[in-house]
Amino acid sequence: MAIRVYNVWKYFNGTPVLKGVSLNIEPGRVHVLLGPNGSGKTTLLRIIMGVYSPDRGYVEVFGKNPVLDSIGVRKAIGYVPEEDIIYHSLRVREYLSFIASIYGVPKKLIRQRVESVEKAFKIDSVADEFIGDLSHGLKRRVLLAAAFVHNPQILLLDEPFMGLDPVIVKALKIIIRDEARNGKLVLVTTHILEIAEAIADNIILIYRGEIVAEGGLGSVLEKARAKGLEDAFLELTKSTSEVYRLVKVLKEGV
Amino acid sequence: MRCIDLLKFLRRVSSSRWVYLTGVIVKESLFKSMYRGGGRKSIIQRIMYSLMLPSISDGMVKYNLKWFIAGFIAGLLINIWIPLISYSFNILGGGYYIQDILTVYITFIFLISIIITIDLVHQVISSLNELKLVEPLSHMPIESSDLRKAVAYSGLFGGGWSLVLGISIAVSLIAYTHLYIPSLLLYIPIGITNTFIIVYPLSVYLYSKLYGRVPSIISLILYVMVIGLLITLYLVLTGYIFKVTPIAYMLLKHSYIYPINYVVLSLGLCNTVSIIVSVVALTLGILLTVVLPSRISHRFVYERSVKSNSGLRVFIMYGRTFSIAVKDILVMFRNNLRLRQFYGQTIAFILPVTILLLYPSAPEFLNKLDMITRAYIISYFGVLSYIVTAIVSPLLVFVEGCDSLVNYHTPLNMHDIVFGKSLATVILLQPAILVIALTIGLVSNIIDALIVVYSMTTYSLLSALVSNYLIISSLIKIPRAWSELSIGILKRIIYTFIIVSIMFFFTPFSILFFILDKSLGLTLQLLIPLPVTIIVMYRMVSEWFRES
Repeated sequence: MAIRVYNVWKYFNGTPVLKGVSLNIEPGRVHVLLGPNGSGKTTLLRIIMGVYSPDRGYVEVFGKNPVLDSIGVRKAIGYVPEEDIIYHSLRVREYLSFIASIYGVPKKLIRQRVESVEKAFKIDSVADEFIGDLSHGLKRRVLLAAAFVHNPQILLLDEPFMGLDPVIVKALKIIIRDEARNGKLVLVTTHILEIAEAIADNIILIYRGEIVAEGGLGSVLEKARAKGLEDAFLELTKSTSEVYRLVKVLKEGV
Repeated sequence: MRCIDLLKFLRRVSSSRWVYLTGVIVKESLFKSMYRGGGRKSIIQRIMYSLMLPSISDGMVKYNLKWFIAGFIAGLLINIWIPLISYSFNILGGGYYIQDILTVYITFIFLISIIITIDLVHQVISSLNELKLVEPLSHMPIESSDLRKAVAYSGLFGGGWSLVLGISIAVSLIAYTHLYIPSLLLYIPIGITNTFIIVYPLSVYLYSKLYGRVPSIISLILYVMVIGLLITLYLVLTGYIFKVTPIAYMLLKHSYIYPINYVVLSLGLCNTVSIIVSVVALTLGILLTVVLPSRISHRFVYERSVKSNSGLRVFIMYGRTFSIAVKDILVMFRNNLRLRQFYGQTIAFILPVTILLLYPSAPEFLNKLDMITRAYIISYFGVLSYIVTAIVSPLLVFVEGCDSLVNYHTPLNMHDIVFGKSLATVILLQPAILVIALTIGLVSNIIDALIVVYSMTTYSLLSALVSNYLIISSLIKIPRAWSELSIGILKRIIYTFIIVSIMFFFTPFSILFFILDKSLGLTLQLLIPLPVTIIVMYRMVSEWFRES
């Protein structure tokens, strides 16, 4: 049981965002999707969830095709979006119980599951607050709690560390690794290379819609002939000269 | 002002920063609601889209022209009954009545344009809030007066005025083809525009003063009172006009009352009083539109609808459909602008009927009828709730705004959302249904009151399901915010037209069966919405047991 992505192409207004992406994402390991802005990470996650359908190619999630059975696929997924996609006028507990309810958590377990994730992500003290009133970091925690509330088999976490304080970051790293160790399929996107180094069993480097490297940290470094992940990232995404160009432009501009 | 000065003034206004900001707000709302990524369209679809639907690349003139066309076509659709009735009257006899009917209708149009404008202001302010359009601008070094003006005028130049103008020209054209009075073509558009430019700035001003300072319930009551007052005024006026002939004499006598002055001018009954009142009203409208928005605050844009941390706390743990319904009700209740819009529109339809029921002759009339005929007539409250629901149920879709993105990422399909929102609509309509049932219970008996509850509930459920299926299936498939712009005014009117037409198809059958056999007619009338109710009940019960 895994996520298989076969030669997926996706266009937006005629521009290719994904160009023949093929992946095999197995459970039991933490897969980290790395890539610069606009490289197609979020689009790939949304294709896996069946939010977008691929223009070419095929995706299989635990044997199901997300295009044909997006509801079945999504039920197995806990998803943390990059933006605050959430009902701002619901209270935290109302939102979590609503999510648990539509993901099919049995009624007698909903209260228990909601209270459990509230404690895990330290949002029990704001359970009766309106989500719209919360700080960005707290909203992110609510989104994380919502992704875990139905105990999903697959975790798709799009920039989950964004806006979190160091304590929660540390806790989340441990939770992510534990979930993978317990046999779950975990796919995380992040811009933070230190975090990728800390949690990844498998790094997938995507650049301009193409997979440019995949494997453990060692094999990615070896492929890029780099000492650290930052150098490897810059090398494989051909961004080293871009960095110096940007610095020059910014200095001149300032 | 000389022509050259006017041109200079217009050039200065068009190059102002607030005009540019208004354009930014309008385009941002379009991008968030209706950006269509990819997807192949046929040539006809492409022509229709480019003609009707505004796009981000449009300049303000082209954008408003599209709204004008949409308003014009919508106006033709809304008034299609005029040629139909005129044609029927000419065949069946009594063609002379059409002039009186149209005169009363034109008066009604002027009054209804006040309600449409108030509703439009609601819609604009709701969209500004739900789509979070102004927040990014507030962090920029922009003069607060520019931002205030941009916010206040975004409804006026963002399609509001051109839409109303389009509708009014369609009304004037249709009225002209039946009454052949040239002044109709001039004074109906001027009169309705005048109403718009008076009501629009006043409504925005009132919002800036009331919003967030008055509890939601008081605000709702104020809103309902304004609409109630307008409808009662209309009922009294038309009742009065119908009793006295000739109508023209009555109109001339009251031409000092706004907007009767415009009705008088439209019908070519020009007198000095109506001209003076019109000139004064037009000057007042222009002054209000120019002066007020620059002074009002735009607090309502930043002020959240949710006011305090007190109030209802719900643990949502029911079946899927009921959970969605509970969530929608909570979202609606915490957005007092949308809630007011929902109940304002409901009351606009329900109140006249309730007032008619309270007439002293109503109990006498009802009690004279035999039981089945009475029940049959009362069951038509179901048809009333069917029409009301077709109009208000889309608000539960639009209230989602940017938060609608949750629906794209959770395991919800279209049927779940449609059933959940339909159930929420019916639950939200219950207070109005209970008011009518109580009134019927008072003027008739408890069984008739129960028939009202049954027929209004089941018919509104049927209407909500049809409406939600039409609207949700036409929403963009890629994640976008849900707002009025996502559907477009013309499409929304066409959908309402389709939904109401279904009832026009069934009702003659029901009447025919009633003429042949009273019991059969009543049974048919009561059974029409029953299958849908059973489907919804079955879905809820099965979910309840499956998820226990």
